[in-house]
Amino acid sequence: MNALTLAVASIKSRPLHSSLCMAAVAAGIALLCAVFLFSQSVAAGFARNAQGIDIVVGTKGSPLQMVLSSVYHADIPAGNITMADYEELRRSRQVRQAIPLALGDSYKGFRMVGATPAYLDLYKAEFKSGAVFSKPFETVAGANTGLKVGDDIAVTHGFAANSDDVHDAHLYKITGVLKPTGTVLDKLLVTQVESVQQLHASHGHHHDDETEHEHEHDDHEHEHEHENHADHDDDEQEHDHEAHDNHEHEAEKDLSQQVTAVLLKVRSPVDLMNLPRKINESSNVMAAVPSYEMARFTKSLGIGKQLIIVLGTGFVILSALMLLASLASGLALRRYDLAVLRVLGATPGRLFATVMAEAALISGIGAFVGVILGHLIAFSAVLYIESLRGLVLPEVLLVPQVTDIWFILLGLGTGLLAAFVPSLTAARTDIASLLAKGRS
Amino acid sequence: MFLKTTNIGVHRKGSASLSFPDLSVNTRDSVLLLGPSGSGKTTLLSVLAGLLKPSEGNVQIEGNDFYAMSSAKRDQVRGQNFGFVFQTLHLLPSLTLRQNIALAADMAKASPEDGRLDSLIQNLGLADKAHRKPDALSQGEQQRAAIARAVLLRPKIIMADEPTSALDDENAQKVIDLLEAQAKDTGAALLIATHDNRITNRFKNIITLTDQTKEAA
Repeated sequence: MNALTLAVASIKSRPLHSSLCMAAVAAGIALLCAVFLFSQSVAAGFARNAQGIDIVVGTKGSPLQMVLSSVYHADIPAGNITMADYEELRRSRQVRQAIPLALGDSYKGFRMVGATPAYLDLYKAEFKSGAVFSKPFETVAGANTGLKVGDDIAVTHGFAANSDDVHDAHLYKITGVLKPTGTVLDKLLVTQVESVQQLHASHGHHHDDETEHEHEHDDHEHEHEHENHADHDDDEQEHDHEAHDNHEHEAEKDLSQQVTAVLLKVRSPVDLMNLPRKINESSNVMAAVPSYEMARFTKSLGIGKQLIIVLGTGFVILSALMLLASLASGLALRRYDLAVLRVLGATPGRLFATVMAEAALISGIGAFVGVILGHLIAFSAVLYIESLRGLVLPEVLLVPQVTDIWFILLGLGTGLLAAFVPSLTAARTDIASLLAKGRS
Repeated sequence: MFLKTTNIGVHRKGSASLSFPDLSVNTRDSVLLLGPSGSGKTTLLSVLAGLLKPSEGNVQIEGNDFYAMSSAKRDQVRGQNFGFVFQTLHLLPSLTLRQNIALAADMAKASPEDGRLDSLIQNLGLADKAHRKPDALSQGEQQRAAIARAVLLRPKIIMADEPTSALDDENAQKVIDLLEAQAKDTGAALLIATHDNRITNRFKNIITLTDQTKEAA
């Protein structure tokens, strides 16, 4: 029997006290651990999905919205830019690679991305079966779409899974299915940029201008497709002849000559500094740097994060105080036990160790449970926050991290710190007077 | 001579100064330390056991000055040579009876001879209660467990502090029987501190302490 056995026996003899203390330690550590894991995985997810994308160019509006919609496929795109803009960017000396994106349609909630095969290379995609698209309306399906080679699909307008605005004039054919990449690509359908353009152009020709008009505005406000339709009926005349007009302003309306965004890779870090400013100053399109926008975005989320950190720290401190109170009251009850141990030959150091061992067990177990809970909380958060799906890999959050050891040590350290004074008191117990007083 | 004291005096803040008659205890001696409460019996036991350094005088254990030893050494000597029985028994409530008895060896960092623990439990009629917690034991069973704990390591002296004062006549005699038997069995000296006059007739060697608080007042 050693300090540990005595500590275990003591903990078992006061199950309520001990488990409450463990719960308090666990709660604090869980919160801290969850916040840490969550923000770490979100940041890693953002970075991983923006790999190789230095600059995004799209229509003027909110840079964050543009980055979210065209890099992370999490928001809705605000509008389109012309193919002429794309060509100009592509030919820029500072640009190493320009990938056009045509967005706006989806299949059962999986977004259809009109792009080039280079888009797949951004995510180092490999084919599980089939091959890349080579003709319009051939499509590569991400790993999570559940589609297989040979499937024909009709996309719907907008991004809602249950939309009834179906583009049934043309069906897309799945020619390849990708292996999982752990990126947003897993839930995308990728086709040639021309497919999306043609679909929308032909869609426009099939119907009257009003329908085309609706499409354009859907890109602005997907949640309110039908309201928009009604709202903009009176603007109809303005756009009557747009499809045949090559003037830059009017060309915006020609969906066959538009892309939603362009993903740029620059030639040098200096270009990364200069090019966005140049684009923003000199043209009617907008450039944004994903890493910068996401840093700003996560910073704006920082208040919530800080709140949870404060809360978690509060819990850890509270747990330390609870442990202190519990040990102190426990020691008051056990002063005689400790005196007996001394009489039986235990040194003061051994009593110190016994009380410390009890604190170490309680806070250690609490912290261990807290770390597990922290992983589960972060995992559920990522799982249940819709917009993070595909961006952040939830399974990663269930894998033990090196940092877990630090969180356990933090809990353990706090517990030992709290136990120091009671332990010292125990070690210094004045046995003789205790025995004398104990006499009735 | 196992234990010998000279001119022990204890002055502690907030309590009366105590001085004690010289004492010498040899192995296999039975000594009764008789005195009313307030006479400092427990204080003297603490001094004898190396738990309280006397303000004056000294304690010799097997010819060595007990308080010249380091505190850790005193703890070790006490653990291995002294067996204690307290009036309130002080079995740890969180441990089983068997663990409570084994505690004597663990705390003294010594091992009892093979089979000693179990034969002791057997001989004291505690075999079927060995894995119960003290709460689930009768007063008599707890008393026997406390005595078992005191003699586990075959100490050279058994010190009992008011072992009988909470017991009825019959049980008081039984406990003294048991203590004497165990002392004889282990070859230990027996030192009983008590104010219980019911047991004085059983001891020849009686040292009487007086109530020093009253004298001081």
